[in-house]
Amino acid sequence: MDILPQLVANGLIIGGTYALLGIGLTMIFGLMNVVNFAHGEFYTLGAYAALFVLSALAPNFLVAILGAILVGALAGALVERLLAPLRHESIDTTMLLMIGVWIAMQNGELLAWGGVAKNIPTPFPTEPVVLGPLSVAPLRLFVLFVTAGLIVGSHLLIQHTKLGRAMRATFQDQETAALMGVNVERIHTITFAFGSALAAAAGALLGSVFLVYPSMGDLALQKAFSVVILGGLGNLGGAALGGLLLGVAEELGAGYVSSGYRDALGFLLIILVLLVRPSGLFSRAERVG
Amino acid sequence: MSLRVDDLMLRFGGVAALAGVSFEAASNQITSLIGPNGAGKTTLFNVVTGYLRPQRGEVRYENASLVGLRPYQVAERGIVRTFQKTSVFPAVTVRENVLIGLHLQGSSGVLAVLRGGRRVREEEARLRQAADEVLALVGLAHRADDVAGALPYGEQRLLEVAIALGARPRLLLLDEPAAGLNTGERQALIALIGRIREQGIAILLVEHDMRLVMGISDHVVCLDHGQVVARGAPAEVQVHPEVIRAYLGSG
Amino acid sequence: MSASVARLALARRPWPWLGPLLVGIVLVAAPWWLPNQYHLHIAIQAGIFAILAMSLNLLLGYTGQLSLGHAAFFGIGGYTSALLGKHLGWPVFVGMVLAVVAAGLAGYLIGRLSLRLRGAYFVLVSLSFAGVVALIAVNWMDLTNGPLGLPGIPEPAIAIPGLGEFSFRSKESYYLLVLACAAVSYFVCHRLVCSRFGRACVALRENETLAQAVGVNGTRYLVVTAVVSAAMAGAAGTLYVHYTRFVSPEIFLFSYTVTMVVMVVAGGKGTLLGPVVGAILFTILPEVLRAVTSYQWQMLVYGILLILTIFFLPKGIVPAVAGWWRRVAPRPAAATRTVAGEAEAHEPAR
Repeated sequence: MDILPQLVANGLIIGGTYALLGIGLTMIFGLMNVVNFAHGEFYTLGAYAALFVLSALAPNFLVAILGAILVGALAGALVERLLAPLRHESIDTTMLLMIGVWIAMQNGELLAWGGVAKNIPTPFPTEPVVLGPLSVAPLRLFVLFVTAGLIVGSHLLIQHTKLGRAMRATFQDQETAALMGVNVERIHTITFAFGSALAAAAGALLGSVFLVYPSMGDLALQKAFSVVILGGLGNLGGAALGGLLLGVAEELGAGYVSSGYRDALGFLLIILVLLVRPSGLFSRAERVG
Repeated sequence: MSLRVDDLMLRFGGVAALAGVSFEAASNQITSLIGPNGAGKTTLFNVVTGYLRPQRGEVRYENASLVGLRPYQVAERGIVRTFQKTSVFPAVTVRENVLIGLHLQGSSGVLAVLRGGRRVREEEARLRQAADEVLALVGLAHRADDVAGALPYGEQRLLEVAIALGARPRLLLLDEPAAGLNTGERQALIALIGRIREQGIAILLVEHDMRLVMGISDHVVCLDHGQVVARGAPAEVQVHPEVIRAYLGSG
Repeated sequence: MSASVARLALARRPWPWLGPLLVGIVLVAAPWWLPNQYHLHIAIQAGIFAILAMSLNLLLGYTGQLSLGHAAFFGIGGYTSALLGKHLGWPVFVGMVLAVVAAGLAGYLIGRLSLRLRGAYFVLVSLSFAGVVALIAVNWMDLTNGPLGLPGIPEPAIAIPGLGEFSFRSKESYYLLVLACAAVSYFVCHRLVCSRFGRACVALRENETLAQAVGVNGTRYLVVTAVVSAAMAGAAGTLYVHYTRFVSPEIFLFSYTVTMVVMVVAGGKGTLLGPVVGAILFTILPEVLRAVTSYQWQMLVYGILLILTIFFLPKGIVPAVAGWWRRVAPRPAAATRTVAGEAEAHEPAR
């Protein structure tokens, strides 16, 4: 079909940001066993942070993205510190707690910035770049590069740095890691900050492609969960692949079937994967109890 | 009316937790499973009670196969187990815990419960009385109204046995019931096992405490690396060279 | 209240049914001592949300599974009777009964879909289900009129032989209808919880692995609870829709689910009175806040309240009050019981 390559390309670009969302969420879940229902709010926060930087500080798009990442990291660290005393509670309690944070953050943002959707001004020309059968807006190309950079950067951090090793050790066996001298408390804070920073980056990037409004995080949260389920909880590589897969699937669905039900695809995928292969598409199957 | 295990094989990835295990636990006996850590004893329990599925082999009780049954179905057949790690229902009372254990002794479903009526009330009264009897047998009657999660360790382990007894097992699988108990508690446990046996309940026991094992068992099976290396009366198994090697290592 | 409540309540206290009887009289007489239409309106809302909260409590408090898609059952109930009444002209009470059935079926679907999924996975399935249902309501314009919603939903009416038709148009009559439904819901919850069924659900929550080992089929109890819980939420939905005489996809708004969760958790999950107290409190609270501030502040306060409740009153208001009451007076009240036949358990003396 004529439009297939275009749809796939679009899907990969959007999917890359979904991957960022998913990697962040799966880190937080996989490492800390916290179902972070507030994840979408860090996404929103990133978008508003970029907006703020551009309008009040410096009209430099890259700086705005960096600002968003920074804000996301700080907010994530702050939330983690605030809720740290309850970390040993059951998973239900932490779930409810994160729902509380979700509500508080979203309505806080609503109060602070109002409900009207806003645009993030970008320095890119609107004329699409033509690459063979594909036609891509320069902004979206930029998003692709930044996303790819962040994903690769995350991978390098986790796999090849001392910090990454500490995170992986804590992920596998918290007690042993602590015995080996890892400051587990700090790792938790850093992980939460890192995951939130990635969400914020996704928010700033997608917010500049689409619109910025206070409830944009709800959809992002759902997509993040879809990606995490697809890839398997705690599986970073799976999340990256899952994000791309979801993006492409959505574009194909919207292009060939109907765009109204586009977001339903994410929901249906969650249900389907949970039914058939709850450990995720890319995980090795685990034992059944 | 005994438990027969035939050539059970279970691999986890590349490791064979059970590599062809066969034995029999007779209906009027106390059979003990011994072996060093990692020999596959708890895995065996998991397979027999339906928590794990073997790749190969058979488990038969009263000549009916248990393989493929879900754990609650195994319980319905009269085989009930305890767990190695302390396992109770922490937020409710001790009596509640045993009442849950007595689940299979009741039959009121949703509709019956909503309708209410004399039959349901009588069943409840009957269950409560049964619960009190089990608690008396186990020696926890004085704790009936206490929250299970707040009980000291030794009493929680007794409660686990009480819960299992509530399910009216014909074969009771005890997974390291004496772990962490002090001398007095261990004595109480041995006495309890004796009382259980008097009620005609067969017992399959996993234990590390050799004195306990040799003291109460009729039959002993020793596992090592997922295989049976010795079986027989306690006195024989105790001095069996393979058993000694399994525990001390070769060479 | 039923005789079994009296029997199960600690009979050492004289006339243990006196308290509930007085409360019942006060509630039934409300249209007389609350003549203000606005207050009656709040009372009706509180009653509907009490039913909704009780339904969520069955899943969250007793089987221990959090359903974040509960608004879906609320909405399915509402839409079913609205569509039957408006498009097909069926009598409203028939539609309401069918709405309860439809919601129950949806609950069955969720239960079956979830099978052995627990915890976060169950949350996600319920969330996704609600998302799909909401999207259908928005997009299937022919059936539901999409985001515009369906106005002009008829109110319920019954034909009394000899007296003609009586329609529940007035707030007083609707209040009594809601009160009756709430009482039935409470009764159902009480019967279920204080029974072998309730114990099995709690076993599921506390330690499913162990529960299985003594013969409790976890999935079956989860499915049945999901059906009852969904049906009850559907009942709340139809009551809501026939009261406001309007239905739109807004009924699936996540904020309803959030409100429900806060009501149950803050009120006391796993107790019978908790969701009722939570519903009353959090129906009155927004009205109080509305006089002072806007919707966003209201939701912000909810979020903060949820967090604070989990920090300081992790078991909720009703258990906290019951605990305080037990220290003051030694006989615990029947409705704070957590499971079959047992009053709120006390810690053993150390």
